[in-house]
Amino acid sequence: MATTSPAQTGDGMAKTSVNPLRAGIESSRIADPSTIVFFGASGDLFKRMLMPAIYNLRLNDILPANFGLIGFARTPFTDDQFRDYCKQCVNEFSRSGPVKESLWNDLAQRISYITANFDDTSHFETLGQRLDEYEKDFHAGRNRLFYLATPPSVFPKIIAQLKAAKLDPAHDKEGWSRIIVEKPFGTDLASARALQAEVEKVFNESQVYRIDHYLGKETVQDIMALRFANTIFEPIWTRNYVQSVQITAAETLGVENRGAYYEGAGALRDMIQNHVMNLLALVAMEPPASSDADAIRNEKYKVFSAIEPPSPEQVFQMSVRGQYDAGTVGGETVPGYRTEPDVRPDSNTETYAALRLYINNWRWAGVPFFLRSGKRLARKVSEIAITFSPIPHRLFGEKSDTIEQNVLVIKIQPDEGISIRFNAKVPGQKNHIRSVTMDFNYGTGFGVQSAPAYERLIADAMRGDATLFTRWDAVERAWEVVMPLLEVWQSIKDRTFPNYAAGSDGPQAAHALNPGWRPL
Amino acid sequence: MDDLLTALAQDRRDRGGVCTTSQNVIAFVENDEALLAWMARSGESFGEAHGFRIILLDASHGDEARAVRTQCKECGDTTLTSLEHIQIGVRQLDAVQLRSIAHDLLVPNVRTVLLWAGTRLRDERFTALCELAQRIVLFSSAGAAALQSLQELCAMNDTPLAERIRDLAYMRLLPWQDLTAQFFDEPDLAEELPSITRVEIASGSEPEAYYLAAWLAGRLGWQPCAHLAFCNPRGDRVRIDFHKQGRPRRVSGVALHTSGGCRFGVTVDPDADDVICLTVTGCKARPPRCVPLHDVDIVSLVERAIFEPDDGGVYLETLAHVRRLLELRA
Repeated sequence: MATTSPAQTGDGMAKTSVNPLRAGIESSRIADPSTIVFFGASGDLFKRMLMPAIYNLRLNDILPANFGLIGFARTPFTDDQFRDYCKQCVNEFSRSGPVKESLWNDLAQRISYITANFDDTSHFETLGQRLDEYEKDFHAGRNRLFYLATPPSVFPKIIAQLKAAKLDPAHDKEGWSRIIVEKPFGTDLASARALQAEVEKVFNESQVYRIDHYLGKETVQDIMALRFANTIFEPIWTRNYVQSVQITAAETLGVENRGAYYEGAGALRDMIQNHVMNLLALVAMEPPASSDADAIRNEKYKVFSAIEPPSPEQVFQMSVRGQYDAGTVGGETVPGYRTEPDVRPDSNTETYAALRLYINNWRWAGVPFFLRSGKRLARKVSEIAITFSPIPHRLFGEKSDTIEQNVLVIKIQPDEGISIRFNAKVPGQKNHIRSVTMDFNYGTGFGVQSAPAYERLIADAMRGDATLFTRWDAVERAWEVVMPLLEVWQSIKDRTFPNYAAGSDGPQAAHALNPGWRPL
Repeated sequence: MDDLLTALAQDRRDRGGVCTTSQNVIAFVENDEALLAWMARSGESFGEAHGFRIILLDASHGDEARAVRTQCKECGDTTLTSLEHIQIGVRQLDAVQLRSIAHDLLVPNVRTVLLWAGTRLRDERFTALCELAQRIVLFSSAGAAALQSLQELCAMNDTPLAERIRDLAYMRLLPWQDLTAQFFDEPDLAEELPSITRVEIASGSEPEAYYLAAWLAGRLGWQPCAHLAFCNPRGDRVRIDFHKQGRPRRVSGVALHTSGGCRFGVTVDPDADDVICLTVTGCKARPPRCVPLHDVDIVSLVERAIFEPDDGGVYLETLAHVRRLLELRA
């Protein structure tokens, strides 16, 4: 009859009570009272993404009624200075524009700040006291969400200090404690395993939310709806009908002011190992038994398990790397990668990566999955294109007509939507056949604006829904798949770098890997 | 009607649009020029997202008032017809003729919605048009005789028609219901629900107040025992106080009082009418909070009325309590 709302029991599990007024009223509001602690609250991510997301969650009445926010970072701020800073972040970067004063004032009184040194346990103990005060003053409960928005090098230190200050889940049985870990989760397989070892000392897997903001995008979530809420696609979603799958994450931007970070990362680590591999899993996985987070993540893991990592000898047959040179993007001349700030003039870091992978299972055996990602390419586009097999026998069309293969494109950004290309007869006496496109666009299809990924993901973590977060086994397996490429690329310097002009479709060699890349 | 449909097809061809009607909307408007103009304008908003054929039946004018138009939008390589609008004067038509004309103008095999803005619900034309529609949307508090409309609506509660009806006057109370309910999502505060002894509702007109009181009664198991009074399951009396205050058709405050001295208040912020202040004072006081009032615009409300699924019988239960209250009033 009515929805339920959780309260906490001693084991951290929710007990339920019935609110009869809830029947028939849909609400997106998060039920559990909670406090969110942002480590690295003076950083760029907090400023541009996280604080605006929190404000918009409040604006849309999604945050729990009893909520608190604590910033924790090195930059010295008083509480009032930090509140002003947060307001400035919202005013500058929020999708909803400047703050509404009365709402802001209400939120601001629930915000405080701790100027902290991550090496000093006493600062974490202060955090513990502050959390206790929030519980008393704002009825925020003993539910805590720790958000690691710091450089990855600090993650292990913060996690260890939480334990030292008795803020780890083992010390508090009354509520829940969860931790959101920003990407990258490690820089290679060994470092990812080392980080995981530190995480495991304090949090169990169900308490860890590894964020990949790509998974929070509406269209990414719609991949599963497209596949499993319709009957017409799934029967042909196999090697019997699909010729190839292309996944593209192309950017027109260069490395901007992230040269120092990017030098140690490259396209393979920065995009392919996480974002693109997650898209591949959603496209290729088997139908999960339920919409439960682990049921879905089990199926994603199975996809990664079925991908055979290339042997060192196969690396150059199965992949292409590139680095952008100077060129023209959007009518403007832009510099080459090697002349970007904080980039070595003889850098061997790839700004473009393309791979051909195979998934060795009954559904996909023999179907190539082409993945590519790069910076300073001709167009900003993220999409998944599924090319179906050619028709077996030609009945229609004049000789000059080309009967194109059907292509289903899931457009992730920009212009989120889905399009299908098929062939139709051109009106007239002749029997001409021409391909046409049927488009669905999210913006016009539903007339609503999708919320930015961070809003969805933060809310999901507060609700305890881990569906859109990456589980450790999948992270580890994704690293295992790309490690041979990383190792070979690192050990063999590419003397053709830079090998594509900014504003182009990428290196020529990519066309040898896949002559059928969709033009950018 | 062939001439209208031919004109519509020609207009669509002229714009190069492919027909994509997913919904027929029959809109009946009577004695309300402003509403008529609004319906004509709002069609574009509805059609933009969903692909509607709107058949606007203008009961204030004769059949000299005829117009057709289409609206197209570019979508990739395709031009889609997002709206087909037919307007026709029907003042001289009786119920049977009206039904026949509306039927002829419908796209076959497509879901049909009736938007009724007639003067009365007790009207043969309403009954006739209802036969064509899978959903019926009306706004009981829109007219001058709002309470009478509500009474007529209540009278339909025992008929099969009731399940297909959505009243915008009730639907626009959703934010108030949600904000009232949210106090009791907290288990400690939910314990206070059986102790409510008094409800204050401030609104600019009566139907909204009746709806809110009846909704609370339905959800909490109260039975009407006098006009503006219920008895809770323990037999204790719950008093309802209406305060006529603020704009017509708008609620501006709800307060629930308990026997233990708790007061749960939901009121519009005096400084911003799209912000709500939530207070719990007395026995289980909580820090005051402000939240946005998601008071949806009328186009979005109509959209919801057309598309949203049933609420599990809560509305019908509420309507039954409104009916009883109004009977006790008489």
